[in-house]
Amino acid sequence: MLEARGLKKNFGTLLAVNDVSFSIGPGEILGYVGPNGAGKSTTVKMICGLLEPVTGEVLFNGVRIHDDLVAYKRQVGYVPEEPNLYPYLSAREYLDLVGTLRDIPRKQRLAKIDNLLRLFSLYSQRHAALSSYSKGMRQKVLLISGLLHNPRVIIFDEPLSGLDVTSAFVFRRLVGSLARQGKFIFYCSHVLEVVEKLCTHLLILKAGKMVAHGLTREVLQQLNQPTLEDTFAQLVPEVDAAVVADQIVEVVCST
Amino acid sequence: MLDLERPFHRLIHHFVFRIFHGAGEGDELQFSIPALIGIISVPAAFFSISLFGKYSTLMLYLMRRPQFDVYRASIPDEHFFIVFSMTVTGAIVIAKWDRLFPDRQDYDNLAALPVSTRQIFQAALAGLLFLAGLFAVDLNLAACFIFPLAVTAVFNTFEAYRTLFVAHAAAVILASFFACFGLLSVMGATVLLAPRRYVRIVSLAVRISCALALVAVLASAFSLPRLLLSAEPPKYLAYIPSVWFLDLQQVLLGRSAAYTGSGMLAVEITAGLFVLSLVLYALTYHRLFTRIPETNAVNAASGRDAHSLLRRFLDCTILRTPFQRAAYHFSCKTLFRSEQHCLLFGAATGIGFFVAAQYGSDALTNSSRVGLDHRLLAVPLVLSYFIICTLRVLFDLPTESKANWLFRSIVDRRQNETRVVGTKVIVMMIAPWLIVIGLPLHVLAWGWSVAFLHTGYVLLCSTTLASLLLTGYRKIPFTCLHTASKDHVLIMFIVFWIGLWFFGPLNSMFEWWFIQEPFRFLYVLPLFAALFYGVRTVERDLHEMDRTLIYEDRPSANIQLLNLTK
Repeated sequence: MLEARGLKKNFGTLLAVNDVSFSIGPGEILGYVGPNGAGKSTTVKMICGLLEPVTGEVLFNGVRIHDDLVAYKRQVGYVPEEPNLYPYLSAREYLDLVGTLRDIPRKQRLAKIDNLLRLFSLYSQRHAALSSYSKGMRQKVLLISGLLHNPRVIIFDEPLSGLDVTSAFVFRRLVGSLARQGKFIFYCSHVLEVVEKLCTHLLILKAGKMVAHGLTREVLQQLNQPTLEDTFAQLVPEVDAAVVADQIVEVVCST
Repeated sequence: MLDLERPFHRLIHHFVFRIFHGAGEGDELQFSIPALIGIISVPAAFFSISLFGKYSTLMLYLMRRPQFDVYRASIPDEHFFIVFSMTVTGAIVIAKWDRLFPDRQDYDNLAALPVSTRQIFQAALAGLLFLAGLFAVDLNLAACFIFPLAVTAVFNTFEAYRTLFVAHAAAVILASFFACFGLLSVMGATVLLAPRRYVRIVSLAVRISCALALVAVLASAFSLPRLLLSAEPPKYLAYIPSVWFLDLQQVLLGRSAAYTGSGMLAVEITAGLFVLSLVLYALTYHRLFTRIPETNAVNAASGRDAHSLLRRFLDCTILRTPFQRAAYHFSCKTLFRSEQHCLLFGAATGIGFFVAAQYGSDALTNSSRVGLDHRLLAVPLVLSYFIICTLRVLFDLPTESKANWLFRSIVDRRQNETRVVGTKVIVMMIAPWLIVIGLPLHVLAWGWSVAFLHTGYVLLCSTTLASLLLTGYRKIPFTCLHTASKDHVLIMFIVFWIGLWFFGPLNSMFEWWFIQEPFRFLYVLPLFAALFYGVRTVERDLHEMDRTLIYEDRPSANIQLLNLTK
């Protein structure tokens, strides 16, 4: 069980995350949604072990992750939002670096890398420098690097960013299959439609605080809304989308 | 040896190579480690070979100098090797300043992996120390073998060769470490002491200062030998770092430490700097790397929304079209905000300042004329020349390549006003200091009329040279990928120094002649008018294809397939 208990994090006077708690069991997918600046990325960093909460703790199988962070990171696959890869390495070199640092035996590592590159349609460009890759291709490299070591916990932060339609479709199936393998999946995204279809559990965050949490269908039922988009609009009514859109058009068309 | 299957060793390997790759894309000034190793080992080797003549027994016999003390005679050469070692090492550290510490890119890629931040620190440090050792040895390796051979050939014994080999190697390698650890300490202290908001700008200023200090150190290789060989060397020599290492070499040769009184001073100071740089590196790592996720969330920069008065003034007066305004402001902001461009501009201008100051000090100390000295007139001309040529070269050096889609998608390629924009950028880098600092000094020195004539003449020459250098220019500064002209660096370098002589000293002699009788300026005005007319005519006569804006400057292939059979 991956558990977050009463997480709180502030940066100076800015309270980014306030009293956030959730748990993810094996085979469960927790959808983590919220508007920009709600504290999603801060939470992701805390459950990856990159940031320490001011109060609260993250536990994996009952053990505080910061007690042995390196051991915890061995079991985590993290796919960050921004593909800030080393531009001078090729995809194969990059994945080989990641695999070596994860201490995967050479033979197994290289076979896995080649197979995954093939399955993600990157094999023919495996020797090209990452600087020449499109955003979607880089995102695929990140996905492979996050899955290479067969992690137990998988943390996705906007994983569909830049992926083409086919790859996105494959990816959705992939997440479902990984969950059936008993992985603990944390899925942070703005694409509400995908979160609704994919995630077994849902947590909606607003200004660092949880506004809804539970089984996806239960959250939708409780708020009596047909879709997650409507639920989200009800819980996070920060702007009237139609009014803002009209105002933008007004500015664009003004002379 | 590194076992690349072991995570920690792989991490060291990674840090060694990442230092010599740019963090971004389109970095035009990258050298791989093998290329750099090859390049830096050559000059010292050639210099050592060139010394065989100086120390050859035949030459000594022909020059009737059988009692020649080769060790004493080798002091200036040894000093040169020490200075060379320090300068090149320092230049590499300054050039790679931003890559010596693990950065955000490393954090994004490594922090989530099962390696502790301590291991990342240790691997980064190990990689850095490995490179410091590699370059220190490589830089001096050939000279360590050849130079002692040249000097001790006269003795014809292996013992003499061995002793000089050890003494020379110790001095030059330690000098390289001194420069490396000294600059690392400066760098670490800068990052630690500067307020977080100003780290980047302070760091850049310190880098430029260090680059100028290196130029001064290199210059000492040519100015100090006379003092080093004098019967009573001045006391202040003991404060010059290169001299500490010279004393170390002399002590290891069994001679006395004539300048500092202690051969061990160099060793002690280098050891001290080593420890200091390690401590500062660790503290800086803690401040920069481990806090990246914290700083990420609070990166709110303040800025002003209003345009400055100066900008509004320029937009109303000098910059006539929207293209000129956009390209001019973009160029100026890029020049001062891109670290690479700012550093190169600062360093080249600094060298120009040194050269100009040399003319000035020559004129003031060895004044042979009564009244106006043409060497003083050369000072602003030389400085302007460095600024013009540096900017002309930098215009071709692209900044973030991905950003030029903006110009590609908006600007009409046939609307080429880039020469005008480039000239205005260059002149605006010269006019402010020339008018605000130069003009009052000239007034004080020579009176109003000469000061105005001189200032006007320098501005006119600068504008003309900028226009000439930008004739046929069709790139928006800093936006063009690949620079075909970089294949002719050596020729450009030679032409640059010849041009300096024409534009500085020779031009100042002409100017001196004009100033003696100001009406003579009337002779020169048609010449400038003709030059400007020539530039416009050349541009007007260009084929339309050669006038349109370009964003890629690829050299044409040496061999072209005509496919005549198709």
